[in-house]
Amino acid sequence: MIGRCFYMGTPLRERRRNRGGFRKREEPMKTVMDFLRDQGIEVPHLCYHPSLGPIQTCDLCLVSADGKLVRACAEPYREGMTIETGSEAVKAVRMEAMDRILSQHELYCTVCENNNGNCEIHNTVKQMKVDRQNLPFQAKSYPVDDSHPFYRYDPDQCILCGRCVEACQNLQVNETLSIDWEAKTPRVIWDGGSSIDESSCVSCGHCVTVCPCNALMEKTMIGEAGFLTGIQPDTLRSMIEITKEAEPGYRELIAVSDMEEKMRRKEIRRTKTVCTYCGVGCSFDIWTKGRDILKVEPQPEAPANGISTCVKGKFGWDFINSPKRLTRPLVRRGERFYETSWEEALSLAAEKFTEVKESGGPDALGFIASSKCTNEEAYLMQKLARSVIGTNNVDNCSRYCQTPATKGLFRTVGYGGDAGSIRDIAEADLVITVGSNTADSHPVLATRIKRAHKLHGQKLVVVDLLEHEMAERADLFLRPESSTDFVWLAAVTRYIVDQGWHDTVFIEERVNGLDDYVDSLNPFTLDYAESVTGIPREKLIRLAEMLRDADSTCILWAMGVTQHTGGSDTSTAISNLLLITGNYGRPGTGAYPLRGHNNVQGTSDFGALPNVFPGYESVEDESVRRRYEREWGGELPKKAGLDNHSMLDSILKGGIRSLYIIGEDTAFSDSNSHHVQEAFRQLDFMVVQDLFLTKTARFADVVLPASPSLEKEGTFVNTERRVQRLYQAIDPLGDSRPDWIILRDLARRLGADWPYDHPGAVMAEAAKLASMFAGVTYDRLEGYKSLQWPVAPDGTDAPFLYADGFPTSDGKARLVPMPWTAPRRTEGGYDLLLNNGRMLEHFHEGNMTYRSRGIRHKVPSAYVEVSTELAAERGIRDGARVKLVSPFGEETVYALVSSRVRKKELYLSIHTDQASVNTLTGSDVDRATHTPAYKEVHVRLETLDRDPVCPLPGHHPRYGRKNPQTGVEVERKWQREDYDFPRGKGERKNGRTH
Amino acid sequence: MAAPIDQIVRQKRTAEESRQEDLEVLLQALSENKEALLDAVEILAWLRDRGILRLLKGFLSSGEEILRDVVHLLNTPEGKRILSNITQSGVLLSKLDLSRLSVEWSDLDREKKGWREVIKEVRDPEAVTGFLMLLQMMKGLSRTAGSGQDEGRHKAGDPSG
Ligand code: SF4
Ligand code: SF4
Ligand code: SF4
Ligand code: FES
Repeated sequence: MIGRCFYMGTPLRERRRNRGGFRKREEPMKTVMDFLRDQGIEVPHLCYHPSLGPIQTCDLCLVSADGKLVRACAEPYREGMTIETGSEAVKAVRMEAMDRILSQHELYCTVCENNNGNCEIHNTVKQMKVDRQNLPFQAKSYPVDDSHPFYRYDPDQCILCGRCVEACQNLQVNETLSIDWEAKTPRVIWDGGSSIDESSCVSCGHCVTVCPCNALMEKTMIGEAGFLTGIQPDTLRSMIEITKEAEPGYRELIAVSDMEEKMRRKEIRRTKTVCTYCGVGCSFDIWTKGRDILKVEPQPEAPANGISTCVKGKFGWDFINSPKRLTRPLVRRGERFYETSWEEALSLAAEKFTEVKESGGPDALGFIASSKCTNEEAYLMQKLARSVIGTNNVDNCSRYCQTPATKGLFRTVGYGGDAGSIRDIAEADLVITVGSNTADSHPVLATRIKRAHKLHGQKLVVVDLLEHEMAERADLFLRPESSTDFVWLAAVTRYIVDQGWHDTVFIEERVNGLDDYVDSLNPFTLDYAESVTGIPREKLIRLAEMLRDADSTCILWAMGVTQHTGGSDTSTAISNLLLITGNYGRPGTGAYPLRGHNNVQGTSDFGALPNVFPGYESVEDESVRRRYEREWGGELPKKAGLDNHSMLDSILKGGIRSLYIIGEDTAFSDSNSHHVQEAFRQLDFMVVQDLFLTKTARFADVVLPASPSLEKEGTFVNTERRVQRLYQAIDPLGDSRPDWIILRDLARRLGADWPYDHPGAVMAEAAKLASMFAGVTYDRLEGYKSLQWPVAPDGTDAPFLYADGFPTSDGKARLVPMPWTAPRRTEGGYDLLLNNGRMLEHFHEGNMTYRSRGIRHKVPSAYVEVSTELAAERGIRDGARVKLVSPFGEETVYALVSSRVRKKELYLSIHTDQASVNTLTGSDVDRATHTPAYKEVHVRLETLDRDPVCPLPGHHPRYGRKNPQTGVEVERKWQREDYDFPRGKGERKNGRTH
Repeated sequence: MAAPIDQIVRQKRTAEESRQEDLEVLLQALSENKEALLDAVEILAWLRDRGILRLLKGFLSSGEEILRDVVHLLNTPEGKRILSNITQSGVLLSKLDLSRLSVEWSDLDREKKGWREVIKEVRDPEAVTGFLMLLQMMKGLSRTAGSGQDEGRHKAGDPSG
């Protein structure tokens, strides 16, 4: 009986209070540099970067504080300090420091790709009015490392500021870079000395972004960025010599190069955009010259990511100019598609939709919106379905991944989105990830956890089948049997209540349903949990203790939880555990379902769902429906429509006869592909709108060429509920068009009077109708500004939910009892579990990322990961071809023996049709939301040949050897014989300034 | 019943259609950028008068090869001396003008402007210095390139004279 244990021990909240109250967000220490900035005084600096903090390698920021020379970037500011920044002595030491820097960096700005107004060496030389240097430039005599597909390192230009190292070690926390301070001539090294390409570098680009000069540079910039930069190396060398002669003082050199830089600005466009690759929602400037993408430049003010990116966002944009892009509408005639005009394609689509509607009624049509498209496009798609056609048969592909998480949150706390922001995750005492390969799937968000864990003592618990990077870093790694998360969650919750560690005050004040919920936990003892999940009870107790001891806990989960027959129930169990431990409504707490695609959150938020309007208001609520009828005109359907899964069933039963699918490769991404494709064959008429001729598009009667994010305007909502604007960087390719324009023009042909001339007008309409977005306007989203919903009419947004109660009738959350759904065991010799999911480098069906030469260089093809145990048992070597057979189909793929998987578990990425997981998956779905149970696939494996062709090249980062360091380790520089603290008056002999 | 297909028959345009389309694009560009184009014509005439267009034409037609030759030519002690002379005269020239040009800095990017306006509005003495030098250099290079082409590759002309 656990009920009697309710009030044992000191309640959690009491203990937290006894420890000195809840933690407030800590303000970072104020330095002398910060103080001077507040006064409008900018001290020169090169190693300091606002997103990295003090590094202390450049010595440029020296000031005199209370008579002592100190580095302003690192010196804590104290009230009453006397600070001198402009005395001759201070200037002299700074000039000396600059001299040393310039002895390591050759100034040839006019012919340098980095001369774009943001070269910090250039700007600092100008700021300090340096005209000559006293120490001659000395080449380091290491060759340029050009081995990596995306960027190169030129040691001769490297000033050893260490920003790249700090970024790699402590922001990205990939721990690849360091400076070899003990070398005769120090330089930056990868993995302790390998080539860049063969190192553990994951191509996130942080180092390139923070480099203050051209030492690290995107290869797409080289030869492209300036008027004089596309020159052959030997000619360039001569030009550098000439430049130095012709521009003997730096004043002239800087002036000439400034002119050239201003000319570049006319040619190179910088456009703010939002990444199209995952729900983290990184935003950045993208530099384009014509249709060429020169680089992605993240900005510190980007709200979700700051200066962070991952390989896809930083480098994965080649698909934009792929010759495989669709550039004209296609219509099917017989066995072929024929290119045609928009006029013909749209008229045909309108005519056929009307025909189906007239003969079969509006519910004979189905609409699938894309979670890769914008909010405005999702809004228009559901409006087209509801108001123009008259059906609620509209859904989007979040059904395939995230709907169960939303369901779990609706059941318990009332909003279907993350409880707080990425900042809260970074600030939590304890982060628990469940079924999430965060470093691969949400790379930038993972960096925030890795950083907090490495630098700020955050505790990390990882629960997953796969022993991925986060698992390796975790303080506690739990590896349950597949589909048993619900059981350990319930058992840990019960144990916490048993011990009296639950937050009684919080529950009393803010939560309903405790008694029934606690009763429902009765069966879930630790012993039972151990027997079902395979996790030893000691580890479960350890987890409960960590929850008890943490002031604030965030739980993050992803498809490892949701894509099961009990996905919604496990999501509910996660939220229940957070409620029991009082982890809602405070900074650093809450539930964080990690949204997969860039706009999974927004496409649902803006109503592309069969049962709700934008803002999650029920289509069956008459007053809501009336509101929409008034605005849109005409009557709207009263009953909820069919979701994706039910639409397919309906097609096979002769119900739905026509589909319109935007930006979703359903034939590839829905489970049990054969079944899906069978349904598509049955359709009378199908329209697919996409960038490429996808597997799904091949079934279509009309294919409409759409434009990707860089070719249009609109907004996305990221995983933090953050609405962000994207701007058009380049024109649509060929005759392709932005989806919102296609939707508008199609609606007009269907007789609707849609006036939209810009996506902003669509947003204005959505904001007027859905209170969740009441205060969202394009003006409030200008540039890097963003809003986290719900947004009040005055523009007040909600970075953090539930501080003042839950959005329920009485303001209280609900503890919701749920049963555990045991996974169906596949009979018939299917002895291996086929786990599946994302990988860092690729995205969705691979249509976009496989078009990137650099990404293909790193991951050229699909592979299935096989455990060392299974490999030994079956004689499988790296690169052996194996056949995977399930009751639903078979696939042939290369094997990779891997320590990330164990025993009879396999892992296959979902990103390529070379080996499509969904040929093997069945039709089981989450019982509440119909999300396919992708993770419950069993297969048998046959080895086809043993002649190995390794599918993962030796230069993949997983073969590198990371080199963890505390950071740039500047003390090692200061200990070098040849280092002297710059000599002003009162000089010292080493780096210490006190 | 629609089986998946992946063959696309591209719409072929006749030569006449393509020409017509190209013309339309050009006309559109002309009418949208009338001002800029008139400016450009003015600049071209200006460049031609000063012989710079000839230099650019030479460069462009012979591409990297000429550039390499010129650059190697200049990267000799004599070439460097010449450049140094140019610089000195450029600096001198610009200094003479400085007193009359020291007006405020204006942001070049604020609006679209023709080159002449841009040049007129550059009030930063350093940028003006640089620009004048650049002109001098280009002029010098032009002569060097001319003599290099006319009289054989490795003989340096005297761009300052
Ligand atoms: S992982 Fe690679 S790209 Fe990222 S910061 Fe480190 S070295 Fe640079
Ligand atoms: S390569 Fe690294 S150490 Fe060198 S200048 Fe760039 S950021 Fe600084
Ligand atoms: S983390 Fe996600 S949003 Fe950010 S750059 Fe990578 S793919 Fe894009
Ligand atoms: S900015 Fe302070 S030492 Fe570099």
